Amino acid sequence: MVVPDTESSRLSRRFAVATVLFTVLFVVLMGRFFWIQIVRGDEYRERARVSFTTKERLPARRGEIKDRNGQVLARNVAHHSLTVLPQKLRKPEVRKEVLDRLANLLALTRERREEIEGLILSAIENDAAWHPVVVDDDLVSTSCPYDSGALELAKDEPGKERQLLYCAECGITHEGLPPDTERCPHDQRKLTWDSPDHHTATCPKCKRTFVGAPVCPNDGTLLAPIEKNLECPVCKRRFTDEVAVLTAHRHELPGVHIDTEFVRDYPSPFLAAHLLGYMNLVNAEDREAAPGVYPLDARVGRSGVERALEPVLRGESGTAEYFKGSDKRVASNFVPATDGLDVWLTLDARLQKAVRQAMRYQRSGAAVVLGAQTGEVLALYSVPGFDPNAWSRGLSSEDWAKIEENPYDPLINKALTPYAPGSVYKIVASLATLHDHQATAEDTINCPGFYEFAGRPFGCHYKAGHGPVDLVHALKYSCDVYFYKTGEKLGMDRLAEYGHMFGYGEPTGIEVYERAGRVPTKAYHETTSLGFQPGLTLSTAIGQGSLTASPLQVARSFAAVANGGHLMKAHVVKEFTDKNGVVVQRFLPVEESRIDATPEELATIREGLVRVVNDADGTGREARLDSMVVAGKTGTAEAAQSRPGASAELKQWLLGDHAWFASYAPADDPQVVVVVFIEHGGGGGKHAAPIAREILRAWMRLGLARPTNAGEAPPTAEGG
Amino acid sequence: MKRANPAFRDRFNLVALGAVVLLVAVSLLVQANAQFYAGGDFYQRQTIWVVVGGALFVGAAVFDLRLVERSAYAFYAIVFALLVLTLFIGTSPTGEFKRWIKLGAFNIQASEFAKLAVVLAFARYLHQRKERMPGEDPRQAGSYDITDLGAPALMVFAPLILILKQPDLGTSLMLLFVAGTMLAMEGIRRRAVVIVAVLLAVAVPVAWKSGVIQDYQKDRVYKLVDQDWEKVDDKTGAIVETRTTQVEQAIWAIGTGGFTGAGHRGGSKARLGKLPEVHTDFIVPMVAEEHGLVGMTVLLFLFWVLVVWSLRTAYDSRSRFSRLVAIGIAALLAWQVFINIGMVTGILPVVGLPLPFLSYGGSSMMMLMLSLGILFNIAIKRGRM
Repeated sequence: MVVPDTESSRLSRRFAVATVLFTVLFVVLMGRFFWIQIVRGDEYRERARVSFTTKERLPARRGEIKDRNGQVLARNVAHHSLTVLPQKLRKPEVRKEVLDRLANLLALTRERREEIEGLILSAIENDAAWHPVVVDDDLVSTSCPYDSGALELAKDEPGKERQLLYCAECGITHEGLPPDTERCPHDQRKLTWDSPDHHTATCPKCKRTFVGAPVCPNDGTLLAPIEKNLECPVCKRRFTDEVAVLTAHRHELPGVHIDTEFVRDYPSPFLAAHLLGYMNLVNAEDREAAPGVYPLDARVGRSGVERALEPVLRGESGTAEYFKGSDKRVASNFVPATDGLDVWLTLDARLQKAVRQAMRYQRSGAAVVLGAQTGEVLALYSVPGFDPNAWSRGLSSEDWAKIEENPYDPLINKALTPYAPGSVYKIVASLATLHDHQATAEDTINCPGFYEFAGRPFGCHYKAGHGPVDLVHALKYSCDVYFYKTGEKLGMDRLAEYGHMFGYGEPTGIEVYERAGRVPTKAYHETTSLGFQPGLTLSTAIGQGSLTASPLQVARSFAAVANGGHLMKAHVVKEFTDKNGVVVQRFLPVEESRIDATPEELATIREGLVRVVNDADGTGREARLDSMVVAGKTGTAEAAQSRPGASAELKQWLLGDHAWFASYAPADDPQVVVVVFIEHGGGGGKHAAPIAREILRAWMRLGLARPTNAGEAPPTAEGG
Repeated sequence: MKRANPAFRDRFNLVALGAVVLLVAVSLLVQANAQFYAGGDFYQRQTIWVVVGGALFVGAAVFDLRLVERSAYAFYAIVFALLVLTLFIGTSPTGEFKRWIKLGAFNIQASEFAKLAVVLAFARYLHQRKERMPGEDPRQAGSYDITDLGAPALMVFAPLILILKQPDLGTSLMLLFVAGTMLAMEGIRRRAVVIVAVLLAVAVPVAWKSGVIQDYQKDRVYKLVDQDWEKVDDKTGAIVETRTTQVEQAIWAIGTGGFTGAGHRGGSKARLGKLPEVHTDFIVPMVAEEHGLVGMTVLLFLFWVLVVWSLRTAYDSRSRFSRLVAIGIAALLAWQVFINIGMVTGILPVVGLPLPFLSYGGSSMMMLMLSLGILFNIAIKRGRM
C-alpha cells in the first residue's frame, strides 16, 4: 500500500528515519565499548599493566666476611652518586637555577660547572635527554672520602665558628676572618697581612690563609658563605653531608637524583687479600652459569672466599612492580630480597696481622697457621699482596699494569700453590721407612756426604757427610743420604702412596680455589719426555724432583704427624650467620683419613722434629723458643728458574732455593702448625725458621695457646 | 511515527528532566574525580557553571518563544562579533590557539555559543523561507533545491570559517553536521544532495592538499587509519611520536575498565593523571575505567533518552521554528556525543570536541543549559508560539 505522500507523512517518515539513525549512532558506540572493554579487555588490561608499571630490582645485601672473633674483613659501604636528567633541564632558566644551586652545594668550580652544562646541552641536542649525566660520582655522606673515618659534627668554640666562604669561579673554599681580627682564630698567633690592603692574611704558625673580605683573592669574585659542619676526626678536614643537603633541597632541584649503591670494602686491604678475594664486574659466563641472578652491572666474587662462597654471600634479589609516576606505590608481585649470609672465617685477624708483620721483609712467599687438632686455618698469608678495594669500584688500567708488571705474582695465593717442598717432605719418607720396615728407629745408615747411584753421585747438602745417622738424626740434620738409601728401597710408587696418605697431591679440603700439586709415580714419569729414571726416586724421597706441594698441604701433613695421625680437612669457613648474628650453619672439623702408622712410629718422627729445633746443632735451631717446645722441619728446595727478559736482580732471585719451615707447637700438646714458605728465599733454617718463630711467639702473645693442664688459669692476652 | 498522547508526553518530559539532572550530577562527580587524578580546580569551577547553567535553564524554559525567534538574528550577530574578536584577542592555555576570550578569571568560548546561534538563526531563516516558498510540484513542495541553499550556506559557513581559523575543527564540523541535519529534516531535493556530495568529494581533497587542513590534523587521520603510524623528524630521522599516544592511552584506560570497572577513584592515577585533557575532551576514558561497560551503558542511555526526547519534542511541535530548533538541538547532542566518544574510542580522528555535560567548560555548560531550557519551553508549550 502506498502511503499518501503528503507533507505531514513525509515529515513523519523523516522523523522515524532520524530516530533510527541517531539510535544507530549510539548502538555503534555501545558496540565499540563492548569490543574494547569485554572482547579485548583482558589484552588492554595486560598491556596497561606492562606499560604503566615498572619492575624494579630490590638488591640483596651481600653478606659480610668476618674473622673468628667477629672483626669485619669485608663489608658493604654505601656509595652515593649524583646525576641530573637533561630532559628536566630543557628550559634555560631552570637549568641555570639548578646548576647554580648544585655549584653552591657541591662547591663546584666554574670550569666543572661549564663542563656539566655542556654535557647536558649535548645530551639534549643528541636526543639523549633521558640519559642521566653524572655530576659527582662520590658524594660525601657519613664517612670521610680520604680515610673512611666516620664524620662527626664539628664542635667549634662559641663565638669562634669558622666562616667558610666559597668561590663560584675557582671552586676554592676560603676561610673568612671576623672584622678587626689581628690573631689567628686557631692558635692566637698574630697574623701577617699578605698585601698592604689587608686582603688576605696568613698565620705564621699553622700557615692557614684567611680572607679579610668576602672577595676571592684569586679572581675577585664575590664569595658565598657555605656551611661545613662535619669534621673527620682523623684528618680534621671539614665536610658537608652532601647527600643530606641535596635530599633536603630536592624539591628545588628538578631532574637531580642521588643513586645509592653498596660497594664492597675491605677495611684492611692488604691483610688477607688472597684468601678473601675481590669483586669484579659480572661477565657473560657468570650470567650464563646462574641465569637471571645477575643484572648487567652486578659485581661477583672473583677469587678467594668471595668467589667460593658467592652463592651464600650474594643472597637473592627481590622484585617489586611500581606504577610509573611520582608516588612509588607497590602495584603487585612484591618479592622481598633475601639478604646474603655473613661468613665467619676460622681466621684470626690479630694472628693474621702478626703473620703479615713477620713476613714484612719477604719479597715473595706464604705462611700458613693451622689448628693442629682441627685443621682450621688460623692465618693464611701470601706475599706480595694486592688491594682488593681497587676492583670494587672498577680497576684503573694503571693499577692493573702495576699488578701485571710485578714479577712476584701478587694475584697468586702462594699458600695454595704447589712448589717443590724440599726436606719438609722427609716426614713422608720417614714414616715409609719405619712402617715398611726398611729400617728401625735404631738402625743407622752411614752418610759419607754423597750416595753413588746409577753411576752418578747424589750429594748430601752437608758435603763432609753426617757419618752414621739413625732416623731421628737424619731428620735433625736433614741428612739426604739416609733418605736416598731408604727411598731407593721403598721405590717410587710406594713413596707416592705414603705421600697421598699425608695428603700430598690431594686437595686439602679448603673452601677456596687451590692447586693440589703433584706426587710423581713411575707411571707419571713414563708420560714425560725423559721417561722414568731410577734416580728420580731418590730426588722424590727428599722432596725434590717433580714433586710439588702447597704450604697448606705441608701444614696439613705436619698437623697429622703432630696430632697422632688424624689427617684433618683444612677449612677456613667457621659458620654462616644471618645479619642478626644467628648461626645458620656451622662447620666442624672433619677428619678426612687416618695415617696408617703406629703411635711409636709417629713418636719417633716427632722426636726427630723436636730435635731439629731444640738441639743446638739442629737445622731448625733458629725457631727455638724458650717459652715453649717447638718441633719443626726445615726445607731448602732447589728451584733455580730462568725467565726470559728478566732483570739481573730478578735473575739472581730466581736462582735461589725455596726456603721452607714447617713446625708445630707445643711439642707435647700440639695445638698449632706453622708453615713458612719463602719463594727463592735461600736456606730454610736460616730464612724461614726465624719467621716461624716470630709467628709462634705472636701466637703465644695473643693468648691463643690453650693451657695444657685443665687446672691452670687461662693465659691472659699478654701472657706467653 | 504517531503523535504521542498528552499523558505520555508529560511523563516523557519528566524522564528527560530527570536525565538532565542526572547528567549534571554526573558532570560534577566526574569533574571531582578528574581533579583527583590530574589535579586542578575544575570541580569548583564546574560547580559555578552548573549553578549559572541552572538559572539559564529555568530562564529559557519560561521565556517567550516568539522573543527567542525575534532575537535569533541579534544573538547570531553578537556571537559572530565575538568570533571575530576571538581571532584578535583570543588565547588558549598553551598559547597555540585562539579559542577563548579572557574575561577576568573566566574565559568565554564564543564557538560554543555559535552552535546555538546557528541553530536559532538557521531555524528562523528556514521558517520564514518555507512560509514564502511556493509549491509548484506537490511532490517537491517544501523541499530545498540547490539554488535555495545559498543563503543558508552563507549563514553556516561564515562562523564556520572563523572557527576553523582558531583553529577548532571539532566545532566547525559540528556546525556543518547540525545544519545538515536540520536541512535534511526539512527536505532537500535529490539533485541538491548529489551536487553537495560532489562538491564535498572535490572540496575535501582540495582542502587536504591546499593546507586548510593543518598537518597535525592530517596526522590524526593517519593515526586512525595506519596501525604503524609514526611521526619522523625530517631533520634527524628520529621517531618523534608513535601511534601509542593519547588515543591509545585512552583505549587502554577504557579497556582496563572491563565490565564493572575499577570503581570510584580506582583508576590508575599514573595513567589518567598523564592523559591530556582528561577533564575535558578525554573525560570518557576516566569514566569508562572507573565504571566499565555498565557505567558507559547508563551514560549512553541517558544521552540517547535526551536525543530521542528532543526528536519527539520536535515532532510534536506545532510551529516550524520550534520544530527546527528542537531538531537542531537533538542533532547537536547526538553528533557531539558521537564525535567525542567516537574519537576517544578510536573510531574517528581526534578533532577536539568536549562531551556535553561531562567535560569541563563554562561556555559549553551554559550553551547546553540554554538549549535544553529552550527545548523544555518548546516541549511544555508543544511548540506554540
